[in-house]
Amino acid sequence: MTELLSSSTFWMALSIGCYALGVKIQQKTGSPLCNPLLIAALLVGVLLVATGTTYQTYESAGQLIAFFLTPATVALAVPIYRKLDVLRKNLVPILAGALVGSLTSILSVLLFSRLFGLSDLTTRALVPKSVTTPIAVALSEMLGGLAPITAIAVVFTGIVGAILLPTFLKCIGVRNPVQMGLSIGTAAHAVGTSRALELGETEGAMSGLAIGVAGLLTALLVSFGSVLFG
Amino acid sequence: MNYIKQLGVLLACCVAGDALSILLRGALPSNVLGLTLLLLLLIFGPIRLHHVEHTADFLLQNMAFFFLPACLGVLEIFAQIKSEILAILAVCILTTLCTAAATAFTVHIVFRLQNRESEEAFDHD
Repeated sequence: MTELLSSSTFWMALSIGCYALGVKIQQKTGSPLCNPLLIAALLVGVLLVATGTTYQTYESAGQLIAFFLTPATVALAVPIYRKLDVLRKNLVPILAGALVGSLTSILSVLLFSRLFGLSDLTTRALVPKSVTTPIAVALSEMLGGLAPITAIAVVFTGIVGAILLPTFLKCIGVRNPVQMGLSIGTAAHAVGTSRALELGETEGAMSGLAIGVAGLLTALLVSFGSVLFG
Repeated sequence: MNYIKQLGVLLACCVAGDALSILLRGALPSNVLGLTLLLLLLIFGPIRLHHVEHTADFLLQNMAFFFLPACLGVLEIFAQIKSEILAILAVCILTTLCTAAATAFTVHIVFRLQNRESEEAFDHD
């Protein structure tokens, strides 16, 4: 039986099973708190610890799964292309909103990380945390941050955004659906977008576009920033 | 409708993104360059939507799953970041509110400027 625990096929199957369970739980509850990735990470994490399996053993299955990340990121071009006419029609507000939002995200991470006394290593991992995970993780690694911190921070940001942002934005006087969608997508990527879709079609489309645009702009900002400031 | 063929097209974009990233000395991540390249190829026509969309949709719908290993990597570094976890969560909450407010404010300003310049109907309500 112990051989099973070192088999990558076993951990692969178990990972898929836990994730599928997470998806089911989210569908049943409809709550952004029940994020499938979070549920799967908790379940597999508990199983790894309970069976005394090291992360190195899991990694052979992990590498198989993570292989699909790069093609999945490249595939983000498809939803952007499908919404090209919406992008053209609202080009200026989308670009301006996502640019200022991305810049604010980076600067506020630097500010609050310093305020809360976070280490330099952790701060580097948090800088790109508002954008979609594949872009955030690639940027974090470029900056010398730890990818797992970034991955967790991105998921948490999405969940916080999905729960708080619709009410928060209404409180500060946001009534326009274009404005609402762009703000949610820029600040809380795909998890936020799933909530924006529930608010309305315009909110959802705008939020979805903002994922890609904010991701690309953040990549440019971080690249320029790291060239300028080292 | 051929998933493997479509995966091949996506992987070709990944490889091209890798090559571009090396040429740019790592100034931009290869996945962002691959994404941009595919978008340009779709816009200018050499690649059509039906060459990639089924595999692309499959990958996008299951995107979160592919991050499971990255999240579990926390197990390895948990001892290292244990003391910082609460601060990390606080930073995530505060910066998310700042980012959304800044975006909303900017879009508001853009709408006002555009309405003053022309009366062209926007997507207002």
